[in-house]
Amino acid sequence: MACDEFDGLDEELTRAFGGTRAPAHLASSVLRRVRMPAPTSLPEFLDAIGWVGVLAFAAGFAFFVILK
Amino acid sequence: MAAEASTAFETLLATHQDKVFRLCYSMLGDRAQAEDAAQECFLRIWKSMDRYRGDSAIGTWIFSIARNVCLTSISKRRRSAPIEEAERSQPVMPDRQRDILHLVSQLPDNYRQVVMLFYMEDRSYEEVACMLDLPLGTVKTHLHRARQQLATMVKEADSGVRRV
Repeated sequence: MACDEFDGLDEELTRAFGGTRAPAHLASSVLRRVRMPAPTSLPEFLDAIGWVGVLAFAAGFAFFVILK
Repeated sequence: MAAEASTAFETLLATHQDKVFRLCYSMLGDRAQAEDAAQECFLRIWKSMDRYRGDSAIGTWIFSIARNVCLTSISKRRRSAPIEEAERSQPVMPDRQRDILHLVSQLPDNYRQVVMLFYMEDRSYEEVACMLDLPLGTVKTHLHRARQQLATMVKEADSGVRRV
Protein backbone atom coordinates (compact mmCIF):
# COMPACT_ATOMS: atom_id res chain seq x y z
CA MET A 1 0.00 0.00 0.00
CA ALA A 2 2.63 2.50 1.06
CA CYS A 3 5.69 3.28 -1.03
CA ASP A 4 8.99 2.06 0.40
CA GLU A 5 10.20 5.63 0.81
CA PHE A 6 7.41 6.20 3.34
CA ASP A 7 7.77 2.97 5.31
CA GLY A 8 9.62 4.52 8.24
CA LEU A 9 7.23 7.44 8.25
CA ASP A 10 4.25 5.07 8.16
CA GLU A 11 5.51 3.31 11.26
CA GLU A 12 5.99 6.57 13.14
CA LEU A 13 2.56 7.87 12.15
CA THR A 14 0.91 4.60 13.11
CA ARG A 15 2.66 4.73 16.47
CA ALA A 16 1.54 8.34 16.96
CA PHE A 17 -2.08 8.01 15.86
CA GLY A 18 -2.97 4.32 15.68
CA GLY A 19 -5.31 3.11 18.38
CA THR A 20 -6.55 6.59 19.26
CA ARG A 21 -9.71 6.22 21.32
CA ALA A 22 -12.14 8.58 22.95
CA PRO A 23 -11.30 9.44 26.56
CA ALA A 24 -12.83 6.93 28.97
CA HIS A 25 -15.02 9.57 30.63
CA LEU A 26 -16.49 10.95 27.38
CA ALA A 27 -19.62 8.78 27.38
CA SER A 28 -20.37 9.39 31.06
CA SER A 29 -19.89 13.18 30.62
CA VAL A 30 -22.28 13.19 27.66
CA LEU A 31 -24.89 11.14 29.49
CA ARG A 32 -24.65 13.40 32.56
CA ARG A 33 -25.27 16.46 30.35
CA VAL A 34 -28.11 14.74 28.48
CA ARG A 35 -29.89 13.82 31.71
CA MET A 36 -29.37 17.25 33.26
CA PRO A 37 -32.63 19.24 33.16
CA ALA A 38 -32.30 22.19 30.78
CA PRO A 39 -32.47 25.38 32.92
CA THR A 40 -33.52 27.68 30.07
CA SER A 41 -33.18 27.88 26.32
CA LEU A 42 -32.54 31.65 26.44
CA PRO A 43 -28.77 31.44 25.71
CA GLU A 44 -29.44 29.23 22.68
CA PHE A 45 -32.15 31.64 21.50
CA LEU A 46 -29.83 34.66 21.86
CA ASP A 47 -27.05 32.75 20.11
CA ALA A 48 -29.42 31.94 17.26
CA ILE A 49 -30.71 35.46 16.65
CA GLY A 50 -27.31 37.14 17.18
CA TRP A 51 -26.60 40.63 18.50
CA VAL A 52 -28.38 42.27 15.53
CA GLY A 53 -31.52 40.35 16.44
CA VAL A 54 -31.22 41.41 20.08
CA LEU A 55 -30.84 45.07 19.04
CA ALA A 56 -33.83 44.81 16.69
CA PHE A 57 -35.87 43.20 19.45
CA ALA A 58 -34.83 45.93 21.95
CA ALA A 59 -35.57 48.68 19.42
CA GLY A 60 -39.00 47.20 18.66
CA PHE A 61 -39.78 46.94 22.35
CA ALA A 62 -38.66 50.54 22.98
CA PHE A 63 -40.75 51.76 20.03
CA PHE A 64 -43.77 49.91 21.40
CA VAL A 65 -43.29 51.44 24.89
CA ILE A 66 -42.90 54.97 23.44
CA LEU A 67 -46.05 54.58 21.33
CA LYS A 68 -48.00 53.54 24.39
CA MET B 1 -40.79 5.95 24.31
CA ALA B 2 -38.37 8.18 26.23
CA ALA B 3 -36.70 5.11 27.70
CA GLU B 4 -36.41 3.60 24.20
CA ALA B 5 -34.81 6.79 22.86
CA SER B 6 -32.44 6.89 25.79
CA THR B 7 -31.36 3.28 25.22
CA ALA B 8 -30.92 3.91 21.49
CA PHE B 9 -28.81 6.98 22.26
CA GLU B 10 -26.63 5.09 24.74
CA THR B 11 -26.00 2.39 22.12
CA LEU B 12 -25.19 4.98 19.50
CA LEU B 13 -22.83 6.74 21.90
CA ALA B 14 -21.02 3.52 22.74
CA THR B 15 -20.61 2.50 19.10
CA HIS B 16 -19.63 5.87 17.67
CA GLN B 17 -17.74 7.72 20.40
CA ASP B 18 -14.28 6.62 19.22
CA LYS B 19 -14.92 7.50 15.59
CA VAL B 20 -16.47 10.87 16.44
CA PHE B 21 -13.56 11.67 18.77
CA ARG B 22 -11.03 10.71 16.08
CA LEU B 23 -12.81 12.83 13.47
CA CYS B 24 -12.85 15.82 15.84
CA TYR B 25 -9.21 15.26 16.82
CA SER B 26 -8.14 15.15 13.17
CA MET B 27 -10.09 18.30 12.32
CA LEU B 28 -9.08 20.32 15.38
CA GLY B 29 -5.60 18.90 15.97
CA ASP B 30 -6.03 19.10 19.73
CA ARG B 31 -7.26 16.42 22.13
CA ALA B 32 -8.99 18.69 24.66
CA GLN B 33 -10.83 20.60 21.95
CA ALA B 34 -11.71 17.33 20.25
CA GLU B 35 -13.25 16.08 23.48
CA ASP B 36 -15.36 19.23 23.85
CA ALA B 37 -16.43 19.01 20.21
CA ALA B 38 -17.32 15.31 20.53
CA GLN B 39 -19.47 16.08 23.59
CA GLU B 40 -21.20 18.92 21.74
CA CYS B 41 -21.76 16.63 18.76
CA PHE B 42 -23.49 13.98 20.88
CA LEU B 43 -25.64 16.61 22.62
CA ARG B 44 -26.79 17.81 19.19
CA ILE B 45 -27.49 14.22 18.17
CA TRP B 46 -29.57 13.73 21.33
CA LYS B 47 -31.57 16.89 20.63
CA SER B 48 -32.21 16.05 16.99
CA MET B 49 -32.57 12.27 17.15
CA ASP B 50 -36.30 12.46 16.45
CA ARG B 51 -35.56 14.35 13.22
CA TYR B 52 -33.34 11.58 11.81
CA ARG B 53 -35.41 10.00 9.05
CA GLY B 54 -32.97 7.34 7.94
CA ASP B 55 -32.42 8.92 4.49
CA SER B 56 -28.69 8.42 4.93
CA ALA B 57 -26.68 5.91 6.94
CA ILE B 58 -26.57 6.78 10.64
CA GLY B 59 -22.78 7.13 10.45
CA THR B 60 -23.03 9.64 7.59
CA TRP B 61 -25.54 11.68 9.60
CA ILE B 62 -23.39 11.59 12.74
CA PHE B 63 -20.20 12.53 10.88
CA SER B 64 -21.92 15.49 9.21
CA ILE B 65 -22.97 16.78 12.65
CA ALA B 66 -19.43 16.25 13.97
CA ARG B 67 -17.92 18.09 11.01
CA ASN B 68 -20.31 21.03 11.51
CA VAL B 69 -19.43 21.23 15.21
CA CYS B 70 -15.72 21.21 14.35
CA LEU B 71 -16.10 23.85 11.63
CA THR B 72 -17.94 26.11 14.12
CA SER B 73 -15.16 25.51 16.64
CA ILE B 74 -12.50 26.32 14.04
CA SER B 75 -14.20 29.58 13.01
CA LYS B 76 -14.56 30.58 16.69
CA ARG B 77 -10.87 29.79 17.20
CA ARG B 78 -9.94 31.97 14.21
CA ARG B 79 -11.99 34.85 15.61
CA SER B 80 -10.31 34.65 19.00
CA ALA B 81 -6.55 34.88 19.55
CA PRO B 82 -4.63 32.06 17.88
CA ILE B 83 -3.73 29.31 20.30
CA GLU B 84 -0.05 29.07 21.02
CA GLU B 85 1.50 25.75 20.18
CA ALA B 86 2.51 25.24 23.81
CA GLU B 87 -1.06 25.66 24.96
CA ARG B 88 -2.32 22.85 22.76
CA SER B 89 -2.97 19.82 24.87
CA GLN B 90 -1.00 16.81 23.74
CA PRO B 91 -0.38 13.74 25.85
CA VAL B 92 3.11 13.25 27.25
CA MET B 93 5.01 11.17 24.71
CA PRO B 94 8.56 10.15 23.86
CA ASP B 95 10.54 12.87 22.06
CA ARG B 96 10.50 11.32 18.60
CA GLN B 97 6.73 10.84 18.76
CA ARG B 98 6.30 14.41 19.93
CA ASP B 99 8.41 15.49 16.95
CA ILE B 100 6.14 13.72 14.50
CA LEU B 101 3.06 15.27 16.15
CA HIS B 102 4.70 18.68 15.84
CA LEU B 103 5.52 18.09 12.18
CA VAL B 104 2.00 16.87 11.43
CA SER B 105 0.57 19.98 13.12
CA GLN B 106 2.56 22.09 10.64
CA LEU B 107 0.87 20.56 7.59
CA PRO B 108 -1.93 22.47 5.82
CA ASP B 109 -5.30 21.74 7.52
CA ASN B 110 -6.68 19.47 4.78
CA TYR B 111 -3.50 17.37 4.66
CA ARG B 112 -3.29 17.15 8.44
CA GLN B 113 -6.88 15.96 8.74
CA VAL B 114 -6.42 13.21 6.16
CA VAL B 115 -3.09 12.02 7.59
CA MET B 116 -4.30 11.85 11.19
CA LEU B 117 -7.57 10.15 10.33
CA PHE B 118 -5.91 7.68 7.95
CA TYR B 119 -3.56 6.37 10.65
CA MET B 120 -6.25 6.51 13.35
CA GLU B 121 -8.67 4.53 11.16
CA ASP B 122 -6.36 1.60 10.46
CA ARG B 123 -5.23 3.07 7.15
CA SER B 124 -8.61 2.86 5.46
CA TYR B 125 -9.00 5.30 2.57
CA GLU B 126 -12.75 4.58 2.35
CA GLU B 127 -13.34 5.35 6.03
CA VAL B 128 -11.44 8.65 5.78
CA ALA B 129 -13.39 9.61 2.64
CA CYS B 130 -16.70 8.83 4.35
CA MET B 131 -15.86 10.63 7.59
CA LEU B 132 -14.50 13.79 5.95
CA ASP B 133 -17.04 13.63 3.10
CA LEU B 134 -14.31 13.77 0.46
CA PRO B 135 -13.95 11.84 -2.81
CA LEU B 136 -11.66 8.81 -2.52
CA GLY B 137 -9.27 10.25 -5.10
CA THR B 138 -8.90 13.46 -3.10
CA VAL B 139 -8.07 11.48 0.05
CA LYS B 140 -5.37 9.52 -1.80
CA THR B 141 -3.90 12.67 -3.34
CA HIS B 142 -3.91 14.58 -0.03
CA LEU B 143 -2.34 11.63 1.74
CA HIS B 144 0.42 11.20 -0.84
CA ARG B 145 1.28 14.90 -0.81
CA ALA B 146 1.12 15.05 2.98
CA ARG B 147 3.52 12.12 3.29
CA GLN B 148 5.87 13.72 0.77
CA GLN B 149 5.86 16.95 2.78
CA LEU B 150 6.32 15.06 6.03
CA ALA B 151 9.22 13.02 4.65
CA THR B 152 10.94 16.25 3.62
CA MET B 153 10.25 17.82 7.01
CA VAL B 154 11.61 14.75 8.83
CA LYS B 155 14.78 14.81 6.71
CA GLU B 156 15.27 18.51 7.40
CA ALA B 157 14.64 18.03 11.12
CA ASP B 158 17.07 15.07 11.26
CA SER B 159 19.82 16.91 9.41
CA GLY B 160 19.27 19.92 11.68
CA VAL B 161 19.68 17.71 14.75
CA ARG B 162 22.85 16.13 13.34
CA ARG B 163 24.35 19.55 12.56
CA VAL B 164 23.82 20.62 16.23
